[in-house]
Amino acid sequence: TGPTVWTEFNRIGQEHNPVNLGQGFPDWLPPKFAVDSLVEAVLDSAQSPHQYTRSAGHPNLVNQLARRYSIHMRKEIDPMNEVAVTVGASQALYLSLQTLVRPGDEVILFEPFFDLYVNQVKLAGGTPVFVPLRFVPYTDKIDGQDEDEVRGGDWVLYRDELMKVVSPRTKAIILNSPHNPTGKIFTRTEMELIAESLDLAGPDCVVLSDEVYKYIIHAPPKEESVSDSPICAGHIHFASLPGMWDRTITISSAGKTFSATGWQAGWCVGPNRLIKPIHQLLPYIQFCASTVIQEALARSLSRADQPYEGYASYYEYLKAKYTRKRDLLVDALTEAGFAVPNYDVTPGGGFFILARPGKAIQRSIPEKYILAKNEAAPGGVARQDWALCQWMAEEVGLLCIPSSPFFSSERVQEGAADSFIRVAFCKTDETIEAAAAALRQMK
Amino acid sequence: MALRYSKNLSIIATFLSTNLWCSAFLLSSEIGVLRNRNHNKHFSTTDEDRKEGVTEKDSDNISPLSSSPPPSSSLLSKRLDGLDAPTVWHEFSPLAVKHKSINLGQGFPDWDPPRFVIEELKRSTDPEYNDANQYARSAAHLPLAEALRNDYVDYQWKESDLPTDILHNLDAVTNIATATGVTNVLYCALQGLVNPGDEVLLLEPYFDIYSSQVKLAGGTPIYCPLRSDISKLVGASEFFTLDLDELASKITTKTKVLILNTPHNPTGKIFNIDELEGIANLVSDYPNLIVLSDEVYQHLLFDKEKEPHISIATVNNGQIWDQTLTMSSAGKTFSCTGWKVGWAIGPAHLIKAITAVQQWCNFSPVTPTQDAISRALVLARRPYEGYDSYYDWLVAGYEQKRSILIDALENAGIITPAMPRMAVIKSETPTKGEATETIMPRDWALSRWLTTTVGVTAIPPSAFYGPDNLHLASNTLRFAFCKNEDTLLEASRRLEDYHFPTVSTSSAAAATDAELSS
Repeated sequence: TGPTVWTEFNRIGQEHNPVNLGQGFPDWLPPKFAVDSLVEAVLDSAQSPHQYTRSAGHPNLVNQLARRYSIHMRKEIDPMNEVAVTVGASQALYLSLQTLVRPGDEVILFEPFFDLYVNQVKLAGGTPVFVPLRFVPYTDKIDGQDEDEVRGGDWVLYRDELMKVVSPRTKAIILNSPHNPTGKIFTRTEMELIAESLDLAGPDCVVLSDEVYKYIIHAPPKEESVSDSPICAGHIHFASLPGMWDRTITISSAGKTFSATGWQAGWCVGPNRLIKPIHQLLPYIQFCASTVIQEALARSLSRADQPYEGYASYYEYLKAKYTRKRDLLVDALTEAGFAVPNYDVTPGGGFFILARPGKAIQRSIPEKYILAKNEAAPGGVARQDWALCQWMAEEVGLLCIPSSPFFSSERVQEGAADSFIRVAFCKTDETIEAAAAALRQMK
Repeated sequence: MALRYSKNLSIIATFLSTNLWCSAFLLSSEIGVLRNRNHNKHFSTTDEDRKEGVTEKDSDNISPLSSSPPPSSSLLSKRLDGLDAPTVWHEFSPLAVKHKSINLGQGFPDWDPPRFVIEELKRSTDPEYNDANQYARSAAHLPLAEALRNDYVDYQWKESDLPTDILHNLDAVTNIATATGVTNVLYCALQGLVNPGDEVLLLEPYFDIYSSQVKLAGGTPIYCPLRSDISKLVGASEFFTLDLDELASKITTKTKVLILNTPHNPTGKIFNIDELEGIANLVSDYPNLIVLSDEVYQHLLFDKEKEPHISIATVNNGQIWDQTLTMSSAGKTFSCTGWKVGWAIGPAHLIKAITAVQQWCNFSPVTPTQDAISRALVLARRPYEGYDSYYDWLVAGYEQKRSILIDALENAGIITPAMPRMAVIKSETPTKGEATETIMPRDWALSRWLTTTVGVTAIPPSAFYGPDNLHLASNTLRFAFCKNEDTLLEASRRLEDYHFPTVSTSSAAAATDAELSS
């Protein structure tokens, strides 16, 4: 414990009141059918979902989840034995690690990573082992731009980076696709690489596939994949790869999909040999997750497939909504002198952009911020990404998150995070416009 | 399946409940095959019973564990050792459904939360309350933390012995944590406080989840039984006593935590001021010892004057305030056990233990339910349905239900609750049935028999004892009366329909005395 990037930037946010593109949750309500589902569940005295429910997961909800995952995975999923409901995907990850990891076990995380993973691995007694995604800048020429100007690019998983650290000590590999914070969609080839690495790890190694952003794939991969789920375009469920069902715990949640992060409704899906231990733990963690929320989600799931706001389904609507907001933010960042991914060529998902300050912006950062001592910053010192974010939040009027907390300390010291900041677009158009206005000041 | 059990069953029933539970004592004059051989709670049932399971529509829906073979030990971390046995809930809920018995086992109400509480959850989805649909502050949703702080300061602890400077300095940000029900608060607290090898004191009988949570945290449960005083068949609080010397003898240099539960599940005992001061005095000699006080039944009091609820954190001028986390929840109070809103209040350094774990385990608890309870707490203090407050109304309702259960047990002619008198009845029990090799504690067997033959389900309290003291539960069953009147009346009819023969009072009393003091 001690100050973290979140507590720090929360504090700065409260003191200076900048436009907030830091937090990873929407500033709008869940869709009406979801809100209505919760209200209906609350008022339903016939079903009365107000008392304890099944520890492993509320039957109405696990049935809905099994129905959908049977389509995703192209196999029959058993709702009672292959699904577990948890308090958000965070807890699904926590419990998966608790059931799998023994002291001394290693868990592979791809860098950059959602910072929660590291401490969850350590809490389970495991050792995090980092495999860097390498940033490969675009090579095409851009008219009017200096050759050494900062550019957007792709994040790539290289075979040797992965294979050299996987061993029989590896107990789990955490895959997060779409990826926080880069927005990367792991390619089928990269996923096959991970599947192949399991041979080096041994039969006990399990892949934890964190898929919370899977319905926000705003830039789907161009190549058609046979593994695409028919009801989740652009997303490959790792567990649906050949031989991988038995080696994977698939994790997701309602929060990002239904703009209801406060519902904290998450789940694990997998073979019974991996799910049963989670079922065994659940009674001792909280006995059961909130019944009324689970009931609301069950009803929401059956409604989300219906036409919504002129789109074929709510999922189509969601994707279109985020695509539009992404474009608003991309324009604002590019105009201000940031380099961002080119979503015409780079697949992307989720609602973050990892943006790179151009040279002009880098030169503008007031000296007092650079390398200032800061307990919360990795290494205790504010490197460029942290300094930039702090300056922007305190003086420019826009709050973004430095990328260094998403990297291992070794890579931070190497400078891997220096040129990246994380900017969210899960915000109303008004908020993004206000951010654009603040960014315009930076020129 | 069937049980081989004693032909002659002498039954003493004493009415001992002060909240939801009624302990009925059953005595066997011949032990028969009901011996407590199985000390590690791995009580097996037939696969047939387990597979029966429950349908989706059943509100008691607790699915049995799957019948696939246990995963290989090389795959799973050691922390799952011993957790593969079904809990008492996984056994009896499906059994109750299978035999269509009246389930007075599991402790949740079969009615809805009050209208005003439901309305607040509805409001939490309104646009005006948008924040209620997104992540809550990890430690606790601030509106709820503030409402809790005010409730403890203005009502719960106002007349207590907690020094006013501590009381009025209580801060919503640092002194309160919320989680997914008190079970989850306890999980986080134990994970945050207990190191491998630490000992955790549990008073038997205890809510069965505690011991497994202690083991999950790497701790060793140490059991200290409440003793029964047969001469004090007045109420649960008098009948069950804590021997402070015995408790003291269990404390070692490794003792890190004491879990206290008042009002107490399953006995219904409410620890009084002398007992709490005694415990506090003892604990204060061990500054590293932390008390986790589970007070979820705090509002279900039947005689607030005679038996008030007291938080141990407040006694002796807050003698052990710095060593105590006080926990409670909305579930029992507002009849919404499925909402899972629990909290802890205490000194900042102990609250941090919970929040530190929570940020990695849950990240944050559900927001809309926390938000709703923040307003429900305020409304509950106002006049309600002709009573001074919702809490007074709640107790009146439970009092009525308790009466029905007492009468039911009384009219059955086999189990006679008495306050203060005692009646003892001896009865014959049927001996036919399929043979079985299953061995289980007597109360477990009796509970199964009561379910399958009489059609009423109660929980065997041996589930709430450590392996060495299972026998103390032999003659007890836990009945819940948080059920609507029709349910209780039907239970009453079924108990009455089963004709239990009687014995003379004195001989059975003598037998009981001998039995209970063993």
